[in-house]
Amino acid sequence: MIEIKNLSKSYGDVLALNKVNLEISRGQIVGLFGENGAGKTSLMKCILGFMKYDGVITLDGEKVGRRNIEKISFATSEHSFFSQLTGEDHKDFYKDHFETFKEKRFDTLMDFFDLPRNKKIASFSTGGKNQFEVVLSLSQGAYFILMDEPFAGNDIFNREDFYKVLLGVLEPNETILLSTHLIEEVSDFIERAILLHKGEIIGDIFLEGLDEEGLSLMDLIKDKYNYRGDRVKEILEERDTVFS
Amino acid sequence: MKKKDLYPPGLDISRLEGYFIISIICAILFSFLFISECNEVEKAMKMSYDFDYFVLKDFKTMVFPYMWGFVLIVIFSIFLIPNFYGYFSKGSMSVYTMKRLKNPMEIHRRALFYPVMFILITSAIGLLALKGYHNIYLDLAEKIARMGG
Repeated sequence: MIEIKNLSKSYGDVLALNKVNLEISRGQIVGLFGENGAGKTSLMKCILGFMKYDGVITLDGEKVGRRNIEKISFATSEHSFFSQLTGEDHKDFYKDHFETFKEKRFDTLMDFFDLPRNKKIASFSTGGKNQFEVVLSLSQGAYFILMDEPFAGNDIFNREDFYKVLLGVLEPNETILLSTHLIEEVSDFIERAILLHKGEIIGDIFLEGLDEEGLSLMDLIKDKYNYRGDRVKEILEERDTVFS
Repeated sequence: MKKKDLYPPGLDISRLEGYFIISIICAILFSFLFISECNEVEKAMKMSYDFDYFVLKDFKTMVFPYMWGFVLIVIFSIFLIPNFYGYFSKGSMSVYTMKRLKNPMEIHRRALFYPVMFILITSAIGLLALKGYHNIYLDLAEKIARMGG
């Protein structure tokens, strides 16, 4: 379990995360939503220990550090692979450095995405690079897989493949924390949605039973963010009044 | 430990090694000009009319211009260090993967090994050359002393 207590992070005067408290158990697919600058990436980087923060983050009761960092993997739209290495080179590197590396899963996913194994990753298309990033994060053998906008720039077919992969390969003890703006696309398979707004958690929604209540995730999110769909219409009408 | 564990993954290390070897050879060849200057000094001494007023420059002043090749390689190798660290953030953020490795020294080993090795090899060859040139200088000084003597 990842446990976050009173997590705060600021960049100079800007508060990116403000006293965030969160628990994520094993075996969940969790969506992390929020507007740009809401703190999603900062939250993930704090969990990974990439940046200094105030508060406590533990993984199975132990502070996240070199001893247990192997239990967490990370797929990011910034890409964490080595662009000048091939897929096979990456396999060797991961085998050498991650004891839990799942070679069979790596091979299966490479085949599924039809990614070339002996070409440098730098030569892949953006979609291919994103897929490869996901392949690495899912093959590392981590229990907690953090994904920060992993398919930014992918077309709908790529994303569809990605969702199939997630549902197809995950084992019951694997957890995914998925940050994305594509709420409607992922709402069918995530079990929980965490809503961040200006560095604070404004909603933690478990999706089980939501359908039976006649609610959709999108409506709940709009409600939490006080989204007003008629705002544009109002502004346009106001403008027409001013100019007429 | 394998050779591939000693530099940033994907870096064309053979090319860099090639450049280093060529640079070292050039630095050694360039430093040989010191020997030629010593010969010139000896010739000038022999042709000189008044040995008593012949002044041999001190070793440091005489040798320094010919050691520049070694100095440049060392400076270049020092600049390689931030370059190698920067490699992990170039093209992709592979630094995130490096930070997730169990061994916290992994990134430092890969960023430092080759530049430090280049510096050590260059310094060792430079010092050996200096030692040799110092002996040549002492011989020359002795010859001049005898001639003047």
